[in-house]
Amino acid sequence: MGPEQVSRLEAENQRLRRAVEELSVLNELAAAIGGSRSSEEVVEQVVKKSVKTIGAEQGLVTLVDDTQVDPTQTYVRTVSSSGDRAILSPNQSLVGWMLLNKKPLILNSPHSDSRFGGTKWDPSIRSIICAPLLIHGKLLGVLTLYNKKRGEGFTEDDKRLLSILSLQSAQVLDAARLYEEEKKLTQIQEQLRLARTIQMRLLPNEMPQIEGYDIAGTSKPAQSVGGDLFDVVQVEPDFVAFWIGDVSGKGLPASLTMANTQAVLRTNAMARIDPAKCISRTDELLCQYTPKSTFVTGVVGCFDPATGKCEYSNAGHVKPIVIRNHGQSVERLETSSLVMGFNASIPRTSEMTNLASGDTLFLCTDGIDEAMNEHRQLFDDDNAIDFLKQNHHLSASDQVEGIVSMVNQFASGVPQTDDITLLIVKRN
Amino acid sequence: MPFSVSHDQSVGIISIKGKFLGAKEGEAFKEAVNSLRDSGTKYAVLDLSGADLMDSTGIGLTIRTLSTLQAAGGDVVIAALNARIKNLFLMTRLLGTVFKDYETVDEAVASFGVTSS
Repeated sequence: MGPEQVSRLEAENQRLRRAVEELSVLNELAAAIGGSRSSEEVVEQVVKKSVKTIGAEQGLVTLVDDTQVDPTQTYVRTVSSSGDRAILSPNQSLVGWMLLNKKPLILNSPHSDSRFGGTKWDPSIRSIICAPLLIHGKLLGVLTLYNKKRGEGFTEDDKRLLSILSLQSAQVLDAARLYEEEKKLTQIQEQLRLARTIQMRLLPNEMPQIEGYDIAGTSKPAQSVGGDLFDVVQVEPDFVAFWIGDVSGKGLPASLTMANTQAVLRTNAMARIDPAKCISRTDELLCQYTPKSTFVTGVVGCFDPATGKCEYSNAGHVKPIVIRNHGQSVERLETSSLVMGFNASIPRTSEMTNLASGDTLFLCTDGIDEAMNEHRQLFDDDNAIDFLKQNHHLSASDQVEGIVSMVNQFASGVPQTDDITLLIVKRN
Repeated sequence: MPFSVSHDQSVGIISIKGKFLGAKEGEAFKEAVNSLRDSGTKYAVLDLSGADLMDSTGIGLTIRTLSTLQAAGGDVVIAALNARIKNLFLMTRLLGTVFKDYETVDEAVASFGVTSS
């Protein structure tokens, strides 16, 4: 065998040895991270294996947070060090370079490398090798190793091996991140479900049974939770308090203000505070504790069941309607004042009306006339009034159900955009 | 974007278009109003001529706009409300007591009596 053949065989042997080594490292890495469900675990294993295989002093993974406006504003998920030195922090210049170039890089003389002229490296850094963690061309992070333990610095073989390791790691890391996101989403959904249960308990489960009256109401949030509120409470035989309200906005933020407003109104109603004062007190608290862009509209009232004498105050809410005398006529209770939560010094007044036998008091939130159909037409609350006039003989709960189905039928599958709440007080 | 910001002399004009449903555009809208204030614009007109719908979050944002510019010593008026949005402002009693409204943007700008920046 000639010297040429010997040298060719040696080179081939070396190539095969490297290939076996690489396969064995990949196999080890796959075994180590295969069972990892969290990205923390994956990153830790990747760093440990890379540091050991390539023979570096330290290693770290810098994950690029794609929710940040500036993608170079990154955070480190884990740092693994094989030595006793102080742990090195990730370098923003390296991450920036990787965002642009997305390919492996060796810096065996970082302090004098012209590509990183303005960068202040830690004095303990002698050599650097890094590789991108890419998935579908998107940079998830950067795997960086510092200071080759033996020899002059990192080699092209190290670069090739690190590229293979980073490719393998990126896929597992991406899967782990997706799994974590899904888990977070499930947790949020569970919390929303709990929030809905709590909110539903803040709304009346059943209406007070009052001789000569029939009362019903319902509230249907557009999302899991909503900003509408209502209640009817018989505080004493001669004092029944009722209210309906609508917090601006929707979803969780609105539901927090809703819970607060419901509690304040209930506390005041239980103390037989008159409607105007109930609104003033609620207004003061909302002005104090809610942002300027949050306001609440509402009608607060009370009546004496024996006489039907009813007092109410309206803070920028949909006008209450009284359908008189078994549907014979309709009266809108016009007087109103500014919404709550904006200016607590606004004077509030209580107005008087009377609920006679055959009268129906109808209160709703604007979710009814904001219901939209597929032709972008809006439901007119006059339809609800006509329904009540024509169906005055129905029970209050059937009337409530009837109006809700009318609105649903009108929208015919177009998702509800606003919370819908109805309250009906009928005097038999 | 459902809104845009321009100037007529020293008055900022915030033109709202289509559905002004605050939850969607809230943050961008707040930032635009803060930028107006930070650049020294204290008076603004909310031009609703192109707005066909507004929800309570949208109204909340108009209130916040007023509070922000009033705190800076300025004011906000509304121009060109369609009947539906006007009803919403009337129902909440914000029109008259809190906001003044004008038929056109020009009338609204003129109401401030400011002529140069």
